[in-house]
Amino acid sequence: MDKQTYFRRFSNSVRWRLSEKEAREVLADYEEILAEKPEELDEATLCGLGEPSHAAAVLTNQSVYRRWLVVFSAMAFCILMSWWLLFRGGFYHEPTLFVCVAFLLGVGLALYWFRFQRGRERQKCPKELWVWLGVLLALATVSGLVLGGLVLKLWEMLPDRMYGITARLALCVSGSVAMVAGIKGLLRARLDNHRWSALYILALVVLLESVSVLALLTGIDTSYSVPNWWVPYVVQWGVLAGVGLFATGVSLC
Amino acid sequence: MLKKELIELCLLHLLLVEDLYGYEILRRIAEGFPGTQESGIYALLRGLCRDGYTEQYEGKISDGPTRKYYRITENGRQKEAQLLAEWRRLRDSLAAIGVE
Repeated sequence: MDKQTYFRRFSNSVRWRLSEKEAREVLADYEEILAEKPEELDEATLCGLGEPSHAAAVLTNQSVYRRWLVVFSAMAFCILMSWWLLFRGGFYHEPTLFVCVAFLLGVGLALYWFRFQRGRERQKCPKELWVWLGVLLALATVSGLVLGGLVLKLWEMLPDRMYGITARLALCVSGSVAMVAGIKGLLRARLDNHRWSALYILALVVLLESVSVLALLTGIDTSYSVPNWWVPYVVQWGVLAGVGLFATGVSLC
Repeated sequence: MLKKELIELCLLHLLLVEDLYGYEILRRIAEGFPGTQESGIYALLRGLCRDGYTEQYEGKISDGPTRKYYRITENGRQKEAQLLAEWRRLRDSLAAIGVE
């Protein structure tokens, strides 16, 4: 194994197991330690250093690491649960409560872990993150377009079932992309830069909107005949989306 | 007194004499404790830092490169004195029963 490979593997393990600050200090030390070693690490040198994962494991404060694993599992559960609800199909309005709880829990945990617990050290915001945030913001408009189609009774102008099938497909695709982006954001927030948690939070917003609009689309609501029936929905989702966008902004700071 | 505490005593003692950077500390300790993994020694050094017995700073000694140096803290000095006293007691006990 060469030095670069060793350092890359060690770096990933350390960033996964230790806090951002501690990982930075350890990696700075290891850069110096490895600088004194030959380019190609022989068996004896490797034995002295220990396997990258083992070397990271002995540095781990187990109770802190266990706490991170619990928080990570909860955050991953929130996003996967929301995605699963999107594909449940044939549901009425019950999933909207679950998805709201998952949304608030996910946002709260992400802010607590990556923003408030991290301390005051700042890192530059990666350009790739802005691209991903742009993609998710574009996807967030899909729910708005589907809801707009419902309000404008678009299905009356389109061939039979076309509106429903297209809307459902669009929501499922945007929700799936959001789920993948959310998991990516979660992992990179831990391994790379805490600001990636903004992607996770925005992905939760997209999933919340997608599941809510799909629930409305597939539900049986007798209030459709009432004028402005859509206003309470828009207000409710608007408030939650506003909370999500605010949290996204906070996690980018 | 376990090997872990002996290494901690050596780490603190080294830093009592002078400030050192990570690799230099590992090299000196590894020489004294052959067969001990450097990663294990480094974990003990980090543990001492986490517990406030040592601290890190960025520094430059003579014409060398800028490095992250470790120095002992006041708590570290007390810990070193405590470990040293423990080691002396153990050594005397062993000597008393004829273990040299």
